[in-house]
Amino acid sequence: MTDRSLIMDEAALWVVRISDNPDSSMRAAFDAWLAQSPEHRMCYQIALAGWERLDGLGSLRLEPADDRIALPPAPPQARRRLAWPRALALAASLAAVIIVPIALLVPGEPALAYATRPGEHREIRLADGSRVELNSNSAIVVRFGHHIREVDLVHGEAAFHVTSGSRRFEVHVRHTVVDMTSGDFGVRLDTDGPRVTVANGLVELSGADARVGPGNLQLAANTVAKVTPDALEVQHLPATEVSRQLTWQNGMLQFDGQSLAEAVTDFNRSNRQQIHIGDPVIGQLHIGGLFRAADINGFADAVALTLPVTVRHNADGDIELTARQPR
Amino acid sequence: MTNDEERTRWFRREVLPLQSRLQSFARRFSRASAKEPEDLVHDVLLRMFTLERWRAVDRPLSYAAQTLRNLVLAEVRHNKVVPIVPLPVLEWAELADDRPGADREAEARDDLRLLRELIDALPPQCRRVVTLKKIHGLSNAEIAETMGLSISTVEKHLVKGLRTCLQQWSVGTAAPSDEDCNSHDRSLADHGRGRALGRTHQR
Repeated sequence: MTDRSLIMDEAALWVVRISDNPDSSMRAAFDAWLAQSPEHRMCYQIALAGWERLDGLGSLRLEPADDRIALPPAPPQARRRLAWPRALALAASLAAVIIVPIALLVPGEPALAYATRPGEHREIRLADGSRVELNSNSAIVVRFGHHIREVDLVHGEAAFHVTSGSRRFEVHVRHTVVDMTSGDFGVRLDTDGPRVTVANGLVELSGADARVGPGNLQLAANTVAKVTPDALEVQHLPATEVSRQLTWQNGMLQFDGQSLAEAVTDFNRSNRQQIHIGDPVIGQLHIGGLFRAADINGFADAVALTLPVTVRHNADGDIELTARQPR
Repeated sequence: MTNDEERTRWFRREVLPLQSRLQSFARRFSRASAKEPEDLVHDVLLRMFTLERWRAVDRPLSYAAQTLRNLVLAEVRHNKVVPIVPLPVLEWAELADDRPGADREAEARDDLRLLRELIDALPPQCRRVVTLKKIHGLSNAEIAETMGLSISTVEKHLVKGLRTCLQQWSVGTAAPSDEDCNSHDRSLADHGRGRALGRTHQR
């Protein structure tokens, strides 16, 4: 290797390091390196110029005319496979069939949960241990089998916490497929198309007609992709903004095996309306699930559905929980 | 701004964009000089980078080409070797498009597509790291975490990606042909036209 090549390698490494962290404690070592000769300083300038030239790539993030990341409208038949689950989901929502997602129970026993109720937030635990948090007025269809881990987001918004498995985890929304092996991401279906927010892991985005491009589009942590009929916009966001976008669960209370007494204490702290536990024994029951902190009545109803508990509203509006008498 | 800073700016703005053209000149001296064309250009750039009287240079390409020729002459004299091939004559009159910014304009027009081609040609892992860095703007630590690599491995991939791009830029966007390397009597004008055609074709 010539001196030229060696110095250029070192210069490139300094550019990579210093640009990544300008306050770096390596600064002194860098200055010493620069001081060695004009050739070192020149090589650094050459490397830096190239590095900055590569910044031009950043415009690919928002380049709608680019044929590789533009997402053409999918033909209507493209998602034929989805037809019946969609119809099912539609029928389910029309019939107002509600399966309250909660669970209870004895610690250690898996919490079973499916489904959706408009106006509620629900946490759904899937068979593989992954979790789905469903925002209000949202609907999903879950298809799990030996060869698939698929969720259709029919409408609304959901956050997915995917555990690693032998299969990729796919979320279908409109004509877009979002998939990953493990990590956390959110999908929201707006009127103009879906938005995908990645908190952790590497997500792949593809169109149903597979025309996003060879190898699909990869979204790293802290990126947001907005798919419209014409284009795909990908933005990198600070981690704080990503977590804000994904924490519509804010103001939520989540329980995972806590006692009913502890849960009630939490609810009472955030509500004027109070819950009283009439029988100490039910306070020892364990519950699980995700609840809106302000929805104290919804919580009481959910508890009554899943635990041997009767809900009674007192004259002052407070709620009393008592043990349901065996018949 | 100090004189050094101003000179560095001038070097970045006026001299560095000439690199690929100097490279094609240097290839024409390959029989006379024992040095690789890359090393010749590197030496020329270094002369320009350290030039005391840089403000007096009003045509950087001409100046750099003359410097290149002088370096080869000095090498030949130093080695006391009589060149068996004549040194190519750079026809200064044909350096007329040596106006400031000519290369930079072309660079700006071509860059995005060329950048894409450059990145797409990188080895897969290197390409992913560079993509996460330059398209998605991740920090080195975030890339390391996302891809399950050590930070030093991420740095190595970034260095490799950057060096590959620098290498491509330094030799020019048009692939050098054998003819470029062998012809001694082709005028710069011919060469310039060929290059312009190459660019048009790429766009």
